[in-house]
Amino acid sequence: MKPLVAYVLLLPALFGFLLCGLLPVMGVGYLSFFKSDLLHDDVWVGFGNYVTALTEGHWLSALRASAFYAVSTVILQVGGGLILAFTAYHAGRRWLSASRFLFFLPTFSAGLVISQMWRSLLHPMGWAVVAMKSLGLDFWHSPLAVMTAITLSHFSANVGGQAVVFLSVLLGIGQEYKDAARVDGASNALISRRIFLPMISTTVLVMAVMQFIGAFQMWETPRFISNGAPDGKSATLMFDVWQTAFVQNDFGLASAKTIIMAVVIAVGVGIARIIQKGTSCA
Amino acid sequence: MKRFLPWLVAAALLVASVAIVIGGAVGRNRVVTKGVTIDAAGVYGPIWGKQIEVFTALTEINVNYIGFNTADGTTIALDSMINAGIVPNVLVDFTGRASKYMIQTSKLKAMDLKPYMTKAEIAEFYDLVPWTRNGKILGLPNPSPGQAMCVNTTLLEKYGIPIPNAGWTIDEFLTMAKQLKSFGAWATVLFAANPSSDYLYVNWFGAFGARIFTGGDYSKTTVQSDAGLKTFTFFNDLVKNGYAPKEAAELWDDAALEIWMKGNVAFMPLRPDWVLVYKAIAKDQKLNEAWFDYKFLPFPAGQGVKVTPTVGAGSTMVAFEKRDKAQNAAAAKFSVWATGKDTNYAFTRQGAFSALRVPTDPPMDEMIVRTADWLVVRDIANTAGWMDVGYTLPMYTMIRQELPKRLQAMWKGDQTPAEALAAYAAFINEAVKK
Amino acid sequence: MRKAILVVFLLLLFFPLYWMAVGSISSGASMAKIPPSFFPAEPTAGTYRFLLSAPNLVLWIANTVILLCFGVSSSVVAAVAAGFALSVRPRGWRVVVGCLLTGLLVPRVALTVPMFLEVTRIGLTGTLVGAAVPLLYFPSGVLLSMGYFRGIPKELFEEAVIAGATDIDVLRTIAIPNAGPVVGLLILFQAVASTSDYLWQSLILRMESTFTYIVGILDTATQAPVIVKNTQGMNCAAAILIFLPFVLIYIFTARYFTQDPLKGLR
Repeated sequence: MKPLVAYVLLLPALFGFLLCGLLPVMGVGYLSFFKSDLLHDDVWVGFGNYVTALTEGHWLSALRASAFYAVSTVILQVGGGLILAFTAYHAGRRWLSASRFLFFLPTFSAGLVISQMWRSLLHPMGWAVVAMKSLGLDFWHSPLAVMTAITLSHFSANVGGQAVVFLSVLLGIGQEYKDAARVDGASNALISRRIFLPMISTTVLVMAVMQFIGAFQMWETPRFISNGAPDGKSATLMFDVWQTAFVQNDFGLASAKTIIMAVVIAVGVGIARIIQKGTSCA
Repeated sequence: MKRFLPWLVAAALLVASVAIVIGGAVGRNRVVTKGVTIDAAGVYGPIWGKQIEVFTALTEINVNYIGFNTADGTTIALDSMINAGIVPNVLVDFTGRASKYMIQTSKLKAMDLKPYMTKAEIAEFYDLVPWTRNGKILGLPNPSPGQAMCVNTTLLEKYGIPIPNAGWTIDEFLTMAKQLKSFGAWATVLFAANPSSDYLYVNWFGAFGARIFTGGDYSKTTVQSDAGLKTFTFFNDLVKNGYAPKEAAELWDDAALEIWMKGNVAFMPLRPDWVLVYKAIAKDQKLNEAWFDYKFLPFPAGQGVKVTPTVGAGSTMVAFEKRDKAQNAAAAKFSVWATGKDTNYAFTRQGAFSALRVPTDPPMDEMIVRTADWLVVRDIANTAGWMDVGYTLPMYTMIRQELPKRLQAMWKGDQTPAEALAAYAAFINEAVKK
Repeated sequence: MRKAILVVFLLLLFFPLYWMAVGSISSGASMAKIPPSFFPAEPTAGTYRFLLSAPNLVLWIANTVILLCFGVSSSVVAAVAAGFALSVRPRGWRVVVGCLLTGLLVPRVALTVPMFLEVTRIGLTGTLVGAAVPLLYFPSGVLLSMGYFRGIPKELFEEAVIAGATDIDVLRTIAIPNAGPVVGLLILFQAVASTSDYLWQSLILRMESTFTYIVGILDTATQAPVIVKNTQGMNCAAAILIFLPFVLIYIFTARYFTQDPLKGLR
């Protein structure tokens, strides 16, 4: 294809990237060196915002919480998605079609429906919290408990979508592999483990990376469920950025935090790529 | 031609009478400037939209209503508009949010309304100090809600506790609290899981003689005092002794009000007009179909306190300076008129509380607020005025978030009342520096 | 055994929806009361009546449909075109892919304010076009379609080129007809994105008559506490109402992506 034609085809998407990607990111980078609240004139502070961001107490606790979410989300989503996908795959044609259709549905209600449900379930004087108290767990005083609830909420909203992606990949694998293994007398479990898993490893890794990024960028779930409680300890980095920008109106600081967050994510993804390169030579 | 003459005359008469009717209706409350259109930004919502409708029908100034969305709880829409150069002529919003715009920067210039007001008009307001910056009146309060203590007389009668009267003290309150507890009821409800509705407990500071800010000096807080410590200790004791539900640290405002609505709470700081709203809700939600008898009292007084001031924020109107001088004058005059006597009394009849001092008893719409309850608040305002909690400060939203956090820390045992108070004062002093 | 696992899991997955549906027809009193009730004692449709009686409801739906038709179609066309262009690896394609990928590192919400200021200066505030702007940036769509087109056997293209086809012919006869599955998937993603983008749409659209469905319903629900205080029930009903269009969209587009769209990525 002539390069000219290729780039003409690329133009609309590149225009979108310009409007919604490049220019705003440059704007964020620019703002990060100022003290800015939209109503007053911007005041130059150099790296002041970055220093504040990195030394602020609740930023560090948000980093800890985000790391928790990232790790637990990746394990739960990818693991859960794989289990579901394999189970559906081996469950017969009708169950398979039905599952493919149904798994994806709850994904559409993420952020709103499911968070709402968890929040009302975890009413401080409601049966769930009271029951937990009687078992010795003071739910709203335990950051770990709140974070687990948030993770589970995020998980139940998204694992279906994960499973659908994995299922699609599985279905794309030629039938001949399965038949060949069957002929050799392998059980379903063995086929799953030894043949399919390695073949979908790339997809698994891509999904893991996307879940990792998603966990860092997650902010609506903590907002609706706990609003950062207790004492900001269940807040993610993104939630902290949102609060700094939209509630405290400190856009300069929020921009600096955004840049730092992007760097953290990039580092994480970079590490994942190194792992991928190392394990995909098989 | 002769044949059509009657028709022409009839038509002319018709046109004339229509003109008189319309002209008469509009002419009732005239504002001086003619034919200028101003953009009034109000929070999108049925209430402000209606207010703007009323204004539009009653003035000669064309009021163009621009809504903006704060349903996500932030003012980002308006701020971004202003930053991009789209500035309204007039802004009407809840004081806690509108105060942020009472500034004069290159991007946004709030107008000094003093030149547009007579001395008499200025004196009519209960207190314009919180709306004054460097001697300039940058905003005007609209009808404000005032509140007092709602007493559940049915509950007290049920347990044979004598119903208090104005002039009751904190000690009497605590005695009754103890008795209520023995019957399995609560004296009041406290909550701190979200910063909303803090007016439901911040009034207690005034009962002990504590003040968050004094004399219009916003460079520091005055809450760090004996009275402030007494208030924090009081909050702590209420929860620790079981006079308020012990889940206070985890309750948010909806949950707290729900508990009160169910009828097992004797005292609750409230706006008189909202009690009727909650009564309807309780019936609709089957929380408490029987409801209860109630009356309003000033707060119980702490030692050395005569009358506790009331608390309330209402809305604020700010006029902005733009390039068109005629528009600016119209915007300023509109703001003065819209917060003046006539409109105040129109809204007061709907239960709102006038920000103006004039001691009139407008006919109340008793479906919205009972006159007797409203008069209690009116008398408090006339005697002790309003307590300044910093509603008109730009960083008010930040300051307001800190009190519930300190309460939570205190109730969880992480901080003593003294420590919580000190942290609260330190936070405010730090915040006002910005 | 396998079926049992699936059933249990599906029940768990759909439990929140069931719970919300129950909450939406319950008459207040928190959903967490003791003991919990799994079916409302006295169901009421008050919440739905309130939300659906909003005067501009039809306008909201119309606005959303317009946004869906124009916004989604233009962004999907842009993404598929870009994906196809990248699939043939033109000069500098790695740079383009790199740029798109780095864009994923910074979440949309952090870019909201700069984007809003930008769009205001162009003069698109208050318009549906302005509301559609974020749709145009669709890196995952571009990458997905790139991967998809790479999965189409090279021979198809090579034969066409040998037979003398121009680039336009190739587009017309091979790329477009075979793009079905990935287009279906991308339409689904963008349709979901545009109907769920509350933050941006509520910023851009100021007057109630220009609201989209999600903004209208959520705003009505949040205004409700002043009038009809059943916050929990109202939020549940709003959530269910917002969920419905997604189901519709999904049912329509589900049949289009029965193939594996990630073929070329592996």
